[in-house]
Amino acid sequence: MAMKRWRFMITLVSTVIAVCFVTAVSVYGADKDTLDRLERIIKQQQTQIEAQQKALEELQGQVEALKGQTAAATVKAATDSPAAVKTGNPKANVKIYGQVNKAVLFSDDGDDENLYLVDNDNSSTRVGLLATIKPSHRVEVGSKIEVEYQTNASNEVNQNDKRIDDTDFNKRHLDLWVDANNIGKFSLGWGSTASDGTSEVDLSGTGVVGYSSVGDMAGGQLFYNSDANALSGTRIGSVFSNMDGLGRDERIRYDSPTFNGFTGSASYISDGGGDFAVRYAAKMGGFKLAAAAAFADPGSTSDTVDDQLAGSVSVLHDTGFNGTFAMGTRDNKGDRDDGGFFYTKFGYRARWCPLGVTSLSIDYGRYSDISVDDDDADTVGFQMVQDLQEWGTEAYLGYRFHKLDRSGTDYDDINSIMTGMRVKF
Amino acid sequence: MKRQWICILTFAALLCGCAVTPQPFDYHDDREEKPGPGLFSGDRGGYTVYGESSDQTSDRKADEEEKASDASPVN
Repeated sequence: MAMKRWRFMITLVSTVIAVCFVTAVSVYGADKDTLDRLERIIKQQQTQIEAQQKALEELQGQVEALKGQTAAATVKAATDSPAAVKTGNPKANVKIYGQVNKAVLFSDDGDDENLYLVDNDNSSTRVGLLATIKPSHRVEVGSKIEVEYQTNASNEVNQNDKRIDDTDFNKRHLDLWVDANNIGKFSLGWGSTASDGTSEVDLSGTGVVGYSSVGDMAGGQLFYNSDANALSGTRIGSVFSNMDGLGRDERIRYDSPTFNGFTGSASYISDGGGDFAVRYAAKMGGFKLAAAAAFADPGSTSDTVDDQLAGSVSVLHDTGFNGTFAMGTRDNKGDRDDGGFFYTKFGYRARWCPLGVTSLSIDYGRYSDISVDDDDADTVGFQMVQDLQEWGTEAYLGYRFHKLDRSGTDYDDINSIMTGMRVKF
Repeated sequence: MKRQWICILTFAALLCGCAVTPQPFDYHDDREEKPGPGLFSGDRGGYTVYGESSDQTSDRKADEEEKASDASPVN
C-alpha cells in the first residue's frame, strides 16, 4: 500500500514538472509581439499612476487653500459682527464709538503755579451708541445715546481742588430722530437745541484745544486777588461765556432741509423756553464757509438770562489760511447790564509731515458783563494740533492768557498751558 | 448795539448766500466725534455691532456694480 502511494506521488510530481517545463518553454518561446504588448501595458499603467499622483497633489493643495480661506472667513465673521447677530432688521445699523482726551494742564495764577492731570473739556472723554435704520432711501430713523465720563475735568480743577474724583456719567445725547430729506428732521429727547453750537463754528482745526468757549481749557482756575493777597472765589469760567444758545437740553427740535447752503432750525425745551437758528455751509471757489446765528430764550429754565442772540462765522481757504469770528449779546434778568462778547481767531493748516495735517492758530476775545456788571475779561491764546490721521489721534498744545478787569478789585492775570492727546476708538 | 450788529451781519450773510450758487459742504464740528479711522477700530472709526459697516457697504456696492457690469449686454 505504501509502495503504491509513493509511486503515485512520484508520478504526480513528474507530471507537474513536465507541465511546468513545457509551459516555460512555450512562454520563453513566445513571440516578441506579446512581450512588446505587455511592456506597453506596463508603461501605460505607470503613466496613469504618475498622472493620478499629480492630480492627487493638486487636490491636496486645493484642500489646504480651502482650509486657509475657511479660517480667514471665520476670523472675519468674528470681527465683522453681523454674523454674530442672526435676527433684526437688515436695514439697521448699530455702532459703538468713543474717544479719550487726556491732557496735562499747567497754570500760573500770578502767585502760585500748579500742574494738573485733566480730562480736556474742550472735547471730553465719551462713549456713544448710534443706531440708524433706513426704511426707504428718503427716510432715516435714528437714536443716539452718548455719555461723557470725565475725571479731573479741565474746566473744574483749581488751586483748591486739584483732584476731582467725579466718577459719574454725564448725559450728552439721549435722543431719537426721524430724518425725511424732503420734509426735514424731527428730533426728540436730550440733545442739542437748535442754538447749540451757533457761537462755536470754527474751521481752524484747533478747536480741540481752544475755541470761543474760553473756560473749557482752564475754567476752574481762581483769580488771585493781589489787594487781599488771597485767592478769590472768581473762576475763569464764570467771567467768560460764549453765549452758545441753550446748549443740550430735553427738547423737541426741527431742522429744515438744506436750501442753497442754508438750514433753519427751531426747538422747544422742556419746562418752557425755546430758540431758533439759521446755519450756512458752502464751498465757493477756493473757500469753505460755515456760519450760524441763533436767538435763544431759556424761559423759566434760567434765573439769570432773559434771552441771547449770538452767532459765528468761519472761513477756510484752500491754501490753509483760515479766520473765525464770533459774537453775542445777552439780556440779563433784573437790572443788570447786557452781557456781550466777541472772539476772533486766525489760523493756518498744512500737511508738513506725512502723519497728517498740522493746524496752528492764534485767538483773541473780550467778554464783558458776564458775571458782574462792568467786568471786562480778555484772553489771548495760541493753539497747535497735529493730526495723526491713520491712528485716529490728535496731539495738541495750547496756551491761554486770561485777564479780568473788575472795578474795585485787582486780579492777577492767569497763564495756562495745556498739552495732551485725543484718541478716537 | 451788539444786537443790531448781529442782526445786520446775519441779514447780510443771508443775502450774500442767496445770491450765489454754492457747492455743497458739510460742516463738521472738530470737537464732536472725529470722522475717519480710529486707533483701535481702524477704518470703520467705531465698532459696528449690528448691520453693515461702511467697509462692507462699499464692498457690497462694488460687488453689485461688478455684477451689473457682468450682466451688461456690452459684455
